[in-house]
Amino acid sequence: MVEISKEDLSQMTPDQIAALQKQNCIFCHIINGKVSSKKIFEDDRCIAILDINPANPGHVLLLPKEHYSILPLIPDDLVQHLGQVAKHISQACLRVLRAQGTDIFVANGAVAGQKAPHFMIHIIPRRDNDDVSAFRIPRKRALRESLLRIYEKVLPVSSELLGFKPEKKPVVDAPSSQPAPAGIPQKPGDSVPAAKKQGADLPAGSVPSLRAPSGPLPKLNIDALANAILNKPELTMPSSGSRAASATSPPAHASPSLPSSPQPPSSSRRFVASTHSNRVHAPNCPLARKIKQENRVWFSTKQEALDMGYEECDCVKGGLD
Amino acid sequence: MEQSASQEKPACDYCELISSPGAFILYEDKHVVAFLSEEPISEGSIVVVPKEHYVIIEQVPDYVVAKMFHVANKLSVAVFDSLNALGTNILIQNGVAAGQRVNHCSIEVIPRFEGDALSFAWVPKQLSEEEMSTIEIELKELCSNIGGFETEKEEPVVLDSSAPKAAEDGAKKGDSDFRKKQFLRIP
Repeated sequence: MVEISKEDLSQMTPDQIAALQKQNCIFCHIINGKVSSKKIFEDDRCIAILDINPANPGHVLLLPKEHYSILPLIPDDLVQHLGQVAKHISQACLRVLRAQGTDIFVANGAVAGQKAPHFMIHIIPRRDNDDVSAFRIPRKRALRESLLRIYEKVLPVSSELLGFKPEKKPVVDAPSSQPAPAGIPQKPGDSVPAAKKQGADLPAGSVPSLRAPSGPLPKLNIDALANAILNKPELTMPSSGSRAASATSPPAHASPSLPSSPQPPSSSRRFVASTHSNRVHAPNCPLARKIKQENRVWFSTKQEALDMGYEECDCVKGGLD
Repeated sequence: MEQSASQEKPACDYCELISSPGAFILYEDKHVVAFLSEEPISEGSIVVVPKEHYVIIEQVPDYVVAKMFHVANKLSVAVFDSLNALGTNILIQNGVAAGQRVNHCSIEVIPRFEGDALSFAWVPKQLSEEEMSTIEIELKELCSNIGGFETEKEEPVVLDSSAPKAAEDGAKKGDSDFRKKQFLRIP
């Protein structure tokens, strides 16, 4: 590689700097065949190679053949093409390597962790409990006010770029959804629709399973619960401590007890709402189950809740008073 | 039973969020929605999801994936400009093993700032030549079929039987619009 002094660099035009970058870019040499690599896919616009220092076996780098340093510089149609190819490579990784998931990752800029001057998409096959901790990031719930501040800054610029302006402003006071639990309670494969035919079907068992770290919640016996509510005012909600360890055919919990104290008298616990939302639910509603203990508000009649300004969730519409 | 109907539908945080009034929606069209993440990795994280419920990216049709990447790219530029981010990360966590938290496929655009406490660095492994060659051969075989991406099916055009007659009438009346006349000209 040619050594250039800082002085020379400062006197060069941006085009000259880009040309110099291209000349010294090892990935451009790989694309031209001057440096050997393990190619797994190539077409007229992009190329996929195996990373020689992978995060996990099967770590693929997807590069555009033309030299671009960051994503914003790439033409729109090439961005879309790279996205589609990345999806198919991810599918191939899942199939061939029997991986349980993939991370598709892009780093734009040195601050974001970009190490090479040539734009690339990383496709990293993952397994449960593998030693790649890079993408396990803790998250905190953002305050509505700070989200609104960011929204007001970003929306004008994104509207201009994408040509979209929302019809109405978001409602700031009512949070849009309950805090998400650590995992979505469901049986693996339950809500996963059949993989669409894209020329390669996923073999059984290789669809990434989505389960809560502590196991799925037991399936409720819905009829029993409904009867319990219709016939007796006592409310029953599944306790969080009774999660089944196994993912298949979990036992039905007909009358799990409500955790925590203090509780209002059972006859007044027919409808539940949260101090952080504007909807009232039946106690067996999946959304109601997610309300934190300290935020729960109980009502004996629906009218009481409506008078307080709550709106009906679909689970209570047209039902009891 | 009304209550059982709502029980059987799996609760998806993102499906619910995009239809709720409190979501901070930055972009929406027929296939794709982009909004501010309520549990961001970094302040200003944006989530791009397909409007229809798909769990992993392999299930999403190709033309929707293309649109999602396009929107993520433009939002990444918007974030550079508006939040003065010095870099962005684009991350798709596909599957619980990869860190997926919500069972709705999403692309996350994460703004990066100087001195933020984030790091996506991984420890590189060294594989033997034999292992690498095996993986290369297997992947190469499967990836050789990539191409011919699915495009959106166009809506069938409804032919209006009164339209040609109207055009003819217009031409007969001595309409000086040469384009209409051109269509009626028989070569």
